[in-house]
Amino acid sequence: MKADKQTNEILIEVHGLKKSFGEHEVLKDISTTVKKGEVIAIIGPSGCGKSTFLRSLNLLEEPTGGTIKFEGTDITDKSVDINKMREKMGMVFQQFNLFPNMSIRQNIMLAPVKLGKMTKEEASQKAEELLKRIGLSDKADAYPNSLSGGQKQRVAIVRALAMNPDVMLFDEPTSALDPEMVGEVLSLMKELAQSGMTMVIVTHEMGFAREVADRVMFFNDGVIAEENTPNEIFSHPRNQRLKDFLSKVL
Amino acid sequence: MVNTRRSTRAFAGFLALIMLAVWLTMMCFTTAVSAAEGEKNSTINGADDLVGKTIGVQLGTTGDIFATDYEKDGTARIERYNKAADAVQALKQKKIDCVIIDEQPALSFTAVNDDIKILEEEFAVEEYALCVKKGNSELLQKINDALKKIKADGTVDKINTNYIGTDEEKGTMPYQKKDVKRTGDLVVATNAEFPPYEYIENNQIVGIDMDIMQAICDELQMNLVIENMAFDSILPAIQSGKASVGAAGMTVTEDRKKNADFSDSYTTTKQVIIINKGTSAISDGNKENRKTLSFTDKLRQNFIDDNRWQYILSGLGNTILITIFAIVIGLVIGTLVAIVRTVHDQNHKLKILNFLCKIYLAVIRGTPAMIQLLIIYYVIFASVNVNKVLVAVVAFGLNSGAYVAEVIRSGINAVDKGQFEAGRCLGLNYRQTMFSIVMPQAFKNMLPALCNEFISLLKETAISGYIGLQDLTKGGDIIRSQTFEAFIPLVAVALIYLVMVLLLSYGVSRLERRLKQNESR
Ligand SMILES: Nc1ncnc2c1ncn2[C@@H]1O[C@H](COP(=O)(O)OP(=O)(O)OP(=O)(O)O)[C@@H](O)[C@H]1O
Ligand SMILES: [Mg+2]
Repeated sequence: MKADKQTNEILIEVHGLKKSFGEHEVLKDISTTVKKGEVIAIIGPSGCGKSTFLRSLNLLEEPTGGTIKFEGTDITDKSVDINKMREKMGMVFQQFNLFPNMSIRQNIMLAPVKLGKMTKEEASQKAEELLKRIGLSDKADAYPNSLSGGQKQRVAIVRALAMNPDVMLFDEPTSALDPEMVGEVLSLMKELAQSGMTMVIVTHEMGFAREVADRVMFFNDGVIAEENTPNEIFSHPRNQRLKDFLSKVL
Repeated sequence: MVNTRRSTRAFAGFLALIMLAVWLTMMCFTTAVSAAEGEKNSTINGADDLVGKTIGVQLGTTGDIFATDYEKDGTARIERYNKAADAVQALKQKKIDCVIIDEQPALSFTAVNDDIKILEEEFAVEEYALCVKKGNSELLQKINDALKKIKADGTVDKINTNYIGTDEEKGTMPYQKKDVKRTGDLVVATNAEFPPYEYIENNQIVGIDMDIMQAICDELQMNLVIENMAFDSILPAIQSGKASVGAAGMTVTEDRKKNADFSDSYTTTKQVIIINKGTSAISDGNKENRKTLSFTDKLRQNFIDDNRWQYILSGLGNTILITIFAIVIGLVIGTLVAIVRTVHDQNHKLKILNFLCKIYLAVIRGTPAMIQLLIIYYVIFASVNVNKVLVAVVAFGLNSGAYVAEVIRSGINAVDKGQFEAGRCLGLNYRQTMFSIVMPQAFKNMLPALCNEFISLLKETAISGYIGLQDLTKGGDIIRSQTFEAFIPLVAVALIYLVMVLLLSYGVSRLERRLKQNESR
């Protein structure tokens, strides 16, 4: 699945990204790029800034320094309409964050209809297509609370897909799941990766990262300590911290 | 559907049970009280005996002024009531020893209450006059001229005779409004709790003073507009221009002269002391004449006679009207304030608006609702003659808004932050996310607290009577002042409030259940 679908077109370009919470500097001068069609796995010890980095990419956290270019536009520029940018960047959370007061169908239809991307009929049809793809057609009119964790996360993924995003950001999408449900979510993500979607995934699933990712970033203490192909990262780690980390998680 | 019907029936049963319980408690209570009513062996035969007694007066009346002298000397205790009828009622229940009051109202009260009487020794003699805003000598001159004229042609005498003449003369010569061309309104402030000078009969304010004012208006060729308010609000109303003339059986005193100018006197009256017959040394053998009314008789007297139920009904209408519109205003203000506060907390924007909102919240929640109502009526709407229901709606709406704002704000805060983030990540802007994702969930969280706020608002409107507005409570009060019966009107009013509160809570709990059901399908 790798390499063949990857292009050289740069989708996201991060330059000198910094983020502090008060005195606490969480991201220290991060620069990297994400190419179109690329699947990137972010790994690293707890509290090293993985989530903060991911959330900075769609400005859910406002950077304290540096620039982030998405499809050529510097989204840290105040004059840029960030809402327009976010339409093209789907995000999936550890805690799913489905809207409990809306049916599954309404969850999926909300943004496309509200933002004038689709008519109600089109959105409803789109929702049905997406639910069919994940085998949850019969749940279209159920409410999130009646779904299992794995089902909720898959709905959350297709809810983001309904906006036809150019990149999908995942923040530990399987960490809140019971072990027997991890598989169904990972296989949906794998399928997505194979279809050519650009993805940035913060994950603790090393096997998944090794199998699916084109590139792995090892975060440590607010910087990208090592960045390489999965094979190099997992088989020939160079950074001492990465070696320590892998010896603990593998 | 079946389920709904069953729960409705259960609810009705519950309601009936509560009413029964309230009823029984009240019954036990009243019997217990009357059984415990000890014979106070205090005897009052004249002014000299007032030492050490508890004197009841109507707030701000001449009786109050006299009684206050005793209070200052430390020789007597004073209970001040908003209405003379309340003082009389307290006397009948032996909560106080006597009432000092003007002679004519005293006669009206003793005429319908055979267990109280007027002491023969009169307390003081005095004269009633009309008052106008201090310095308004032009109006004062016109009123004095008109008074002179209607005194000279016998109109004043006729009016007096019609109300307080002998039994044969009474009611035979009502003042006939003259057919003249009128320009402009003359707004007259009064306190229609003071028969026979001013009182409510068949939902109209009538009495000697009102007829005299009509006669004066006929002379001045103006329209008479009567504003009913608390007695101690009349002078402030004249000063602030809410009314032009005060006509309320008002005695001229030095203190009052400082705040208003008085016309020539139009009648002379006495201050007298009313006591319970039992407490007088002069015994009175008419006991068997005093009939005890049966409960159904009392019900008839309080609600059927003179169509008194209309006071309750029109009062209820006002209470509901005020509550509904105040809820709407409260929700609008509360939502806006909550949004400003939330936007400020999340984005550090709207600093000035947030500051203003904080002041609003502090002031409203830090002062009694009644004071707010009075300030809005007497200070903010001082010089305009506005509809009192409107004033109450504004006052209670403003008041409720502050509490609703905090309920909504905490409701918003209770919604998981992830919901907001999920909305924003889908490309929705702040407003869209708030309105279509956060608010509906917040609404569900805050329903119980909102319901509580609406219930307290409904009950809070009972203070509307302080601006002379006839709400449910005041409706019951009017009946009470006419029948001298505390139990039935008060319990009836209490039950009506109770039923409204129960209906409101029931409606909200059903809505809550419906919203909950939605999420677990
Ligand atoms: N809103 C915030 N305010 C203050 N500090 C924060 C905030 N968000 C994150 N931090 C701090 O920033 C650091 C990095 O947090 P982050 O969530 O990015 O770590 P992470 O690598 O995702 O860890 P984990 O694997 O536990 O999710 C942590 O020390 C955290 O306490
Ligand atoms: Mg994290």
